[in-house]
Amino acid sequence: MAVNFISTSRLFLTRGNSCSIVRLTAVAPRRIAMSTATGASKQEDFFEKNKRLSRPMSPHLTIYKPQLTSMMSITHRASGMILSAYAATFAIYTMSSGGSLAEHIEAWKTLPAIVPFTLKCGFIFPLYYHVINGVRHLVWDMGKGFKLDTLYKSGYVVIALTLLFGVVDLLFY
Amino acid sequence: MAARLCLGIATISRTCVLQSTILRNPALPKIRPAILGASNIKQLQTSSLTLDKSEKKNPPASGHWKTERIVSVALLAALPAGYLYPGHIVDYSLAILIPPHVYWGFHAIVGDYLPKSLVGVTQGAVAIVSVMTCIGLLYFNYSDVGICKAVAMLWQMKTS
Repeated sequence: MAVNFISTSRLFLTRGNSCSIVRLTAVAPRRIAMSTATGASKQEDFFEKNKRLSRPMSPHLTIYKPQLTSMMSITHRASGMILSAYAATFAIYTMSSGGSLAEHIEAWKTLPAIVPFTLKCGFIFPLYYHVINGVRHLVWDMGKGFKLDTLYKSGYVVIALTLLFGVVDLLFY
Repeated sequence: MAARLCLGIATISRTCVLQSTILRNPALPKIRPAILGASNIKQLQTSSLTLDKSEKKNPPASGHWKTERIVSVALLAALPAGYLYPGHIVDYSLAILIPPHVYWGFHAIVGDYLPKSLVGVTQGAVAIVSVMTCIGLLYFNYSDVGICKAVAMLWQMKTS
């Protein structure tokens, strides 16, 4: 049956039809009946079965071409994680250590200049990227801007604005 | 995830909805019923009996989704407000808006990447860190200069 499916789908491709060949359906983990030694059948999860048979996983991240959409999406996630680390470190550190912020800044004045510079860069670029791309996300949540060329254009705008605002903040403030 | 969203929307509206309608307008909390024919409406109405019980335990995800977006929009407003009008209001707003945003963000990350057995533990750790972040930020606002002033002070540190 699988062979028939492939051969018919190839037919669609060569004819240049715009039929969708693969229909994506969300599938719950399939229960596969498995007989034990005593003959009683036990329901086995799809993942449990593959683990039992020690099957390797198909390649996924290593073979998929990086695209603006996916790279921007993962960068949005990464920037969120970085900003969360900044917020959590700041909050927990100031709560746990004695002394005011002013005293801490005085103590940190002896640090080499690269340290505050790195921390600033590591904060401001993820912040601007996350906020501006966040606006893009909220526009998607309103149901707009999903056409492919709109996606790419808005993506490039986000990157340009992020770099612009970040560099201006680092240089002039 | 698409299946869960569809189930959530189906539990709100008792009438049948076209698949494409859901995909086209993910933001609509109430889907206008598309009249396809009596057969489709009947199908879901019979299953609504079984959905009633689970609905009480599992309310539709749309309410939570709305709350997340409201917090995001509020944060989006609070950031320029922190720059233009720094003060107690923005400080405390940021202190109570950032931790939930962090928590829900990590909920998606943890749920996407970790095996099911680890999700609960990691999400618990994220919850603890979020709560500590909230308490830390509130304490900082109360006992020290406040978030907006702190960012300004830290930004003044020499980098050259």
